[in-house]
Amino acid sequence: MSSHSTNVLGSNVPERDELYAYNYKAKLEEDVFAAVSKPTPLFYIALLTALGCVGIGATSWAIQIINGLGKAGIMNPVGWGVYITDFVFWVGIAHSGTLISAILFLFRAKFRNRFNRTAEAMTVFAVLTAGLFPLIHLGRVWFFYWLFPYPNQRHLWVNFKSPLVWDVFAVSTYLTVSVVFWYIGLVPDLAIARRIKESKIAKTLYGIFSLGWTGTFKEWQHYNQLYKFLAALATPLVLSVHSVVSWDFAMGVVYGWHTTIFAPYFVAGAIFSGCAMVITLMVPMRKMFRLERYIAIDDFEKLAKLLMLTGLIVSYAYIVELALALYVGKEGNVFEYEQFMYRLTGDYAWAYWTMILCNVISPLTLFVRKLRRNLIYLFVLSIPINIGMWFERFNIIVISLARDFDPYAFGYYTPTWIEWGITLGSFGWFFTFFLLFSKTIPVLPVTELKEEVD
Amino acid sequence: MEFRFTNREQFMEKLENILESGMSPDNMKIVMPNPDHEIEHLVEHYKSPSKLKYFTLVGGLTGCLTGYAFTAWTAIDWQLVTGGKPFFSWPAYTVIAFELTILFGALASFAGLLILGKLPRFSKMLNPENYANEYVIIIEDED
Amino acid sequence: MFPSMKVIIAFIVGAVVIAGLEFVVEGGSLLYSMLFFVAVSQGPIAVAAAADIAGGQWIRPYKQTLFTTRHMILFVLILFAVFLGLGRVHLYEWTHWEHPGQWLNVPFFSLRNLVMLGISWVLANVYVKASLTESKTKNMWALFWLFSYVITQTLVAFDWVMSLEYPWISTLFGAYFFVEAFYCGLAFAAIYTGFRYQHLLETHSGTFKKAMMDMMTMFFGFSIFWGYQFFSQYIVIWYGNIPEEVSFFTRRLDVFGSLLYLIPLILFVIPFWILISRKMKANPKVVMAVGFLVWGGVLLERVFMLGIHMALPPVISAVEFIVASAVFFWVVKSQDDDALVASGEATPT
Repeated sequence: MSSHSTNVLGSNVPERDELYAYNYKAKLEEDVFAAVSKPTPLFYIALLTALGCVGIGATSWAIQIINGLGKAGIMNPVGWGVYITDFVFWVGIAHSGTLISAILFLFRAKFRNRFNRTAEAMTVFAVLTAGLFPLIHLGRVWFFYWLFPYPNQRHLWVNFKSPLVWDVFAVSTYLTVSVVFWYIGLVPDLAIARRIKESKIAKTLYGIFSLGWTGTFKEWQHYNQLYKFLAALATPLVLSVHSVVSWDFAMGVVYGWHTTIFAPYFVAGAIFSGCAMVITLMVPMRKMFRLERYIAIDDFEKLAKLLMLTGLIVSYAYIVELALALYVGKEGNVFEYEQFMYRLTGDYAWAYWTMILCNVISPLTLFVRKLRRNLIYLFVLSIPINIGMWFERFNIIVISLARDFDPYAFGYYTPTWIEWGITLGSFGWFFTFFLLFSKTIPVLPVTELKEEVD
Repeated sequence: MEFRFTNREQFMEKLENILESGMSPDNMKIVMPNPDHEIEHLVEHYKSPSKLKYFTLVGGLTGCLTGYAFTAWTAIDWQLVTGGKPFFSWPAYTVIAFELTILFGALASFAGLLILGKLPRFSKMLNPENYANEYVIIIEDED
Repeated sequence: MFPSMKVIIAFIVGAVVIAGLEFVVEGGSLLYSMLFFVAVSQGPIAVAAAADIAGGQWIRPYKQTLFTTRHMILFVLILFAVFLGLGRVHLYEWTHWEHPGQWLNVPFFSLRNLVMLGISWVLANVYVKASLTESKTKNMWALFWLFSYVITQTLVAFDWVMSLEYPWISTLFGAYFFVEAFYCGLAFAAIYTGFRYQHLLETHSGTFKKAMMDMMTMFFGFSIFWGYQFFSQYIVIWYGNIPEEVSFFTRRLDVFGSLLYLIPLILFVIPFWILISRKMKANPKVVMAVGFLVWGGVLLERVFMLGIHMALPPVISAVEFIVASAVFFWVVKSQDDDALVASGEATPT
């Protein structure tokens, strides 16, 4: 019996009687579906804003497709710029969803049940957003299918030794498995929606997507096992996906990229940014949907602790990278050394120090218990962390490319408005999906919360 | 015969009685509002646990083999040295094999639920029995 | 919380014997033993601290025993002092440089490692006390201890091993070491389970089987995580194929050949396939065997790490290792017995 349910029925039920759990479950359904049902004017304003951003992004991309990649600022030697930064950023955002739903499930951390539905939705939408960027980055986007190994007359296959092809497999696997995992968790809730919803159309749609779920013992038995196995499969998957993303860089012999810590460091960074995004989304949602009864401050505090932990791992990686560059020094490896000196003091030093401020210094404030239990503070803090993590990828990608081996080939990269437009568009695209989700699908996992009350 | 309960403990008591009387869980239908590990343990005492794990295992192994076999075959099908790496570069192909292990494992497990749980059940999509949050035991009559 | 007289005597005897042996033969034997025991002394406490912070219930039956390894940190510190005292630091090539580096110079090297081992020993004691008395500051000390753990293991990785290969660097090396030490800590729990299964079952009736399953699931999880880290380091170096970087593997392949493949086999493949089964995870003898296997794998890996840089005279290395193991066993056993006496579960014999 968790502490979250004690106050649900108010003071008229001082003790748990026979009907306590039964009533709790009914109340839970009522509250969650109340949140799902009525779009407010604010919702429409938000949706229109998001769609407006999508419009800006689409227009920018159209301009780029018509005129060519020259419309973007990427140019030798910096061939990867804001697009790839955005790609890594969004894949990273996705990761905490799987962490919360799969890893914390295996660890039997109960607080995950407050966040997992939203976090998994976030995962799916963030991967959908991330998947756009490799395409946007293509000069001739209509040939995107060349990325896949399909039989063709010339017996040409993709190069499986290329990390970019690994990425195609990793990200598409991730999208598929996340969707399956999310959907499986949803099926029993959709069956509840089928029962509760009034309108004929809604009943039919929820009925179809619930697969005719009736809640028999047999169904639950297989469901439990499936859920456990999917969690066990998703856990190594989530490690692998951002590792593969990191290897897009680490396999290349570019200083600042080619370093062994990248895989675990990227994974930690991804979860760090993802947790920040969960906080960004859940704090307002809890308030607007009146879910205070179900999501306690304690639950947010645990999320904040996760943020601290991953923040510390990321800080460790920053320190180690820098320390080892200093350790080899000019005599040991001049390229490694100069790359890090350039990060600290060069043209992009402002970006580097922004990152340090956002990702290293700001999460340290969470050591103060009062602050990490203050939802407004958490919400405010989550935004610089998102920004800082964006800059982390920007620093890795751009700074390393701007200065590699040959001083004659040094360069400086300035993003254009096309790139910023598309970046804005990606936020719009993500939030459009998210807003639609929040009004169609129960934002809390009803069946899992029901299980807790027994 | 149909028994309905709003209280979980009473339901479990009844269920235990029925099961102890020798009735096989296969001959009755139990409906629950949410998954429940205690009840699962109780029933699995009389009934074998889910066979879903074999779907996962077979799917995962198939994915792993496919990953290595396919990458190796494409490398040999059109031999082209790239990056100065050997044709069969197992570290690189491990990544593909790993991803396919997870992909096939997850999809096979999902298929396992659909097959073992006999889903989707079209007849129940639109007109399900409405038990809300009650626990129900239905014993099918033996005519 | 300070080591008992029995432990102190064991330390003195152990250190004197090892120092005596070191006088006889030059080589890396002492460094070799230290590299193993720094992992198995810190790892178990890291497991307990992580579980404390996460609020894991499964640590309960194991906690007291995991804590017994803390004084071994002090023993490693003593061994390190012997190592310095005998001038073994000259095994490192950088000590012969004409111009010592700002990081790689003998005084700073000695100081930072001694200090970190000392701090981690002190913090381990403070944390252990807070944890056993269920003090309010328990989690804070656990966190501080983990900080010192991460820093010490990183220093061990970078200073003790990586500096042998200067200017070769691998940024993962530090994390690789502290994950491996954690893995050794879980192996320690597995081994202990094998020795004291009946006793654990009786004292924690009802909860132990579940706790053991959770602990072994962690062990299983770390076999995967170890494999992941190993692969992450290997693939970057293999793929980059930069002569001075890939030499880390090629030089070892030249000397040890395909024996190197034993490392991923012992530390990942075998534990993974054994522990994947629930039945195996519940079998105390099996998990004990896996625990010893993992320790063996780590020992072998240390041979490969040091072997190409310095002589490891087999007999002396083995004898020193056995002496240190005897001290380790004595430390764990005497404290474990003391704890039993204190809790009234056993009578002194």
